[in-house]
Amino acid sequence: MELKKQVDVCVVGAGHAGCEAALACARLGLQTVIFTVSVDSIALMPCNPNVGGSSKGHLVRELDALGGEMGKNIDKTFIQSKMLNVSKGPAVHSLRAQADKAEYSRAMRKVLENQENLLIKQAEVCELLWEETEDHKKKITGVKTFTGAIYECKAVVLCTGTYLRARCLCGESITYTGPNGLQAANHLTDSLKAMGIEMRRFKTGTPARMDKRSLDFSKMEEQFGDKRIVPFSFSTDPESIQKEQASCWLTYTNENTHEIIRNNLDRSPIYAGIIEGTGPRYCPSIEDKVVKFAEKERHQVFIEPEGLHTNEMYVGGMSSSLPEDVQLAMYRTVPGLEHCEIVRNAYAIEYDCINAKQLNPSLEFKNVSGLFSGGQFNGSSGYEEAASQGLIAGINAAMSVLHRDPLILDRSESYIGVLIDDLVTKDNREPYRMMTSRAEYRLLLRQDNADLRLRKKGYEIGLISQQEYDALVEKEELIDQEIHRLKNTSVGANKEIQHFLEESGSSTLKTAATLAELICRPELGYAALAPIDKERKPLPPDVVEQVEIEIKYEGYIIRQKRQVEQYCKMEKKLIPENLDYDEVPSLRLEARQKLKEFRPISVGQASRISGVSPADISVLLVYLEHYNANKS
Amino acid sequence: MEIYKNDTIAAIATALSDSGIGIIRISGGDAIYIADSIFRSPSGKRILTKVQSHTVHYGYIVDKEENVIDEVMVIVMKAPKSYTTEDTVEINCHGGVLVVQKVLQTVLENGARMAEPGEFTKRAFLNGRIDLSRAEAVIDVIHSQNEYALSSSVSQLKGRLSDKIHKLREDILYQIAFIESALDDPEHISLDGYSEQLAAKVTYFQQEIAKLLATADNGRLIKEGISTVIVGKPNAGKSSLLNMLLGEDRAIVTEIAGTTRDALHESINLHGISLNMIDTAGIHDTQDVVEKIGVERAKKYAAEADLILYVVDASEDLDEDDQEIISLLNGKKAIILLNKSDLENKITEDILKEKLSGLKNKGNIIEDIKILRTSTIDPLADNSGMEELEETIREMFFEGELKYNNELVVTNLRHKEALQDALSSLKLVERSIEDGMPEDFYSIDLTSAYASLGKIIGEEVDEDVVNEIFSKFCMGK
Repeated sequence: MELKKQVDVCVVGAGHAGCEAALACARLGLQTVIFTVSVDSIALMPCNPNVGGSSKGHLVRELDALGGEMGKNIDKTFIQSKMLNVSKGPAVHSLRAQADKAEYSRAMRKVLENQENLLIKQAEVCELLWEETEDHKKKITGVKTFTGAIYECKAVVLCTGTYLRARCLCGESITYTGPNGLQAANHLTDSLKAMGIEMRRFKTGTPARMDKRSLDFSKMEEQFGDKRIVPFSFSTDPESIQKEQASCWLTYTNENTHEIIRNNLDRSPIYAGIIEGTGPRYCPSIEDKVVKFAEKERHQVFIEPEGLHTNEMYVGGMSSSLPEDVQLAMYRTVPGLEHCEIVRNAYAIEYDCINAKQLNPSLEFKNVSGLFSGGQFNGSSGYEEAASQGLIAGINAAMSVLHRDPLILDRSESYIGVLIDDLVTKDNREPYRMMTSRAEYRLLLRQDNADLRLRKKGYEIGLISQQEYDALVEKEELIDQEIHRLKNTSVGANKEIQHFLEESGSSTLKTAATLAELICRPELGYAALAPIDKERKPLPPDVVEQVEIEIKYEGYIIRQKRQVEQYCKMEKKLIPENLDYDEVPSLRLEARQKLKEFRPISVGQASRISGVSPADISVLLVYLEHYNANKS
Repeated sequence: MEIYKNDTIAAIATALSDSGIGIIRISGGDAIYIADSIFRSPSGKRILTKVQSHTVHYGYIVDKEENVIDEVMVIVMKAPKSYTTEDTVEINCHGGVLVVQKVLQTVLENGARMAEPGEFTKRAFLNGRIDLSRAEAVIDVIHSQNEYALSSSVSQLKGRLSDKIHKLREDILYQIAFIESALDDPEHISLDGYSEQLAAKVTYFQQEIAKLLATADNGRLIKEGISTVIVGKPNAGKSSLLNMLLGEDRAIVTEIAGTTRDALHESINLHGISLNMIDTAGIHDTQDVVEKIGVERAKKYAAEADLILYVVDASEDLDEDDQEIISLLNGKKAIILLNKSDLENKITEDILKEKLSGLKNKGNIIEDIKILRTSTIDPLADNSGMEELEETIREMFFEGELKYNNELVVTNLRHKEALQDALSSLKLVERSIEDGMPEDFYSIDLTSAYASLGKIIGEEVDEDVVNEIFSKFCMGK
């Protein structure tokens, strides 16, 4: 007799995507099971020991604003924190923290274990169960595990990461395992294919870990964390996380390193053609860097602690799939690493994933209702990208069970929207990484205003508490009032003001000016004006930050808002789900094929598909007008 | 995406020619207001906002300084009783390409936007004016006109101008990618001291675009005259013919350096008719590689030409090369010039006509192809034949055998708009640098400039930046 159980949602995989998906569903009151091949690998960080970084920090902030867990979890477990790009504009400031990997994993597991409505299950899901509905669509009904247990459910979220038919390569040695030697999931792919889901194969890699005691740090540059630590989560009290931080270390490769690599390229599985998966260009192995950027005399190597209670050190910048002996020889040419001992070898990993064009922007499969997916399974890369999709997939799985509208974020309101739109609209040929250049409206999508952009949505979904929401509303009011006050408070060209301006290295006034106008001057700012701003009341630092940015960059912000208005017009022109593109006359063949393949939800999305020209969009608009007129 | 707007649009509604009347059509909520701001009654008053629908008014179109541009008849049609069902004004000017363009330009300066291809029809349809059953036809119109505009704009841009825009875009893209890679990977790529470098670059970009705009103003980016190609065997007198046509009594409108080493482009104005002359390499069977390319190009120009001037050395017998050239005339408007008529002639009109009749042509080729006798030694000599040639071209034009191409004028104005947009984006970059803004602000406007230039050559931004980052800069991790 098979074991049979009924729940609302099954989440397959307990990595960064799976954890967010499962927590979201359980917190929204749904009976949820999260499956993992090993309970010990919940929220595992199998590659770099950090959370955040350029544009990824934005994702974590947005995730937090919506009610995700990653930001809170890294605030509990970081060992060093840094705001990147502080010398540049506020839009590209980005938080990055070094994590204590084991602690991060343990803390997340604790959150999951104590979450009401959530059950953790160590089991490999081998098969999805589904039925055909009246309109010949597929509908999810449950999952089946390797041991034959059946879990009936209304929605499934796939977050299989790099585990599907995983294969690790270290030179000539190949093992059929997931990351860190964990068991691969070898059966689910067949079940997915049988449902008509197209699979593809991607690859990624990780550098070696070294024994701290074998390294000579005196030959490296020490890298410190920030003096004042900014938390990731809008719910974390900044005072509670000011603490002593661990250091990272910087060293460089040299010509000797490069020569060893060049001499052994024939033994690299990538260059020997053994690896069939497509690797990411932004995360090149050291072999790739040496071959593609042959003119560079050296490459940076960051030595980062994996945690406080381990001697393992991560060797950032030198991921590789060269054989063990070559790895050791190559690493030992780097200053400080002359006597290094490798604890874990660098390796490349290949895995099954999907082309996300099979998904709607809600992350539900177009052809299978109730089936959602997030993370590396969707062809992305990175913990933060995974967690963001996991949260959205989880929320939308819950919305579908609850018969509520899905949460779809667009490109003008979040990096998460950019990430998902790119995944489901573009033909990505490598694991997708978030980058700040991918966000067209980044001046509006800052990490500092993620709460103002998204908390309300999180509240409406039900993942943000009343208390958190009230705090947001109060913050908004304070910002508006202060901006209003500064724009309407003038200072005259009197002696005191002129003296103050001279002292501050700023030009004197010819006529009266508002405080806002003075804040706009590059050499001045909100804090600098304190002596002449008599009516100023003390305000929280996060309010001051928003006031200053809104005033200082107003011109640019207004321009971007205008662009967004244009963009939104097209996003709002929805395309009926069952539109028959063969009925639309005069579309070019390529456009017709692409539109049939991607089935965009709006004219805006259609316009971003490569191969669809402005003329095709014009044709589509006219046709839709015709279509809607006929219907009404 | 600027396709779905309900603003006021304008375009030239008639074929551009120097004869008859030119009509400029304006449609949209501000149509009457815009027309009113540039139209004056004979007594100098602004009257159009007060007139009744479907009435005709006589008066003048004036520029900002109230100088008269043209004497016109204006028809006002108020919504919904017009083709588009929107307020519509039609300005009937005297023909003449320059005048019609000037009036359109004035309309655009006063708040109308250049209509997209097929946009009047599209509006008529969207506003329910045209029966839904005609949707398909409307879509075809939009599509064919779009395709045409794109193909003509690209084909007309071949050569130096297009190269220049490609190069500029490449340079701008590199700067964007550099900034972006440093933002994405600040620990590997530094922007120290970059602002000064970029400032110099931006000044250079602006100068280059200003130069292109100057070309647009006096010569036009796309030359909208009648594309006239001179072909013939080597030494038949092609270049002499061009020089004679360009003689001092003719206005040289512009001179764009050869797009290829082998063809010379000149623009001449023949009593008000613009001709874009292309002098080509002599066509003959050759083994020389460079020469061969020249011959191939000459054939290509001939195939795209509105009018072919075939210069024959009448003192020599026709040979296989002539036969080859005659085949190029198939289905084309052409004039054959029996040159060197001062020397002893071996070729007569009858011989040529016989050759021509051998063509399996599309039309009655004998009627379409005129044969004249010329001598290119001295333009003032009675037997030079220049006057006859000019008279023949004028006749062909006024009888409608030769026409200007509306699309080209439109494309030209669009290109100008795009160049101006690129220039203003670059000005914003310059300002950001002067104001000491952080580097990430530069790439916003650089990207706009990149996109505007892309419109001219029909390319979009898409993944360009990301691809450039990965190919030019070594990212970390």
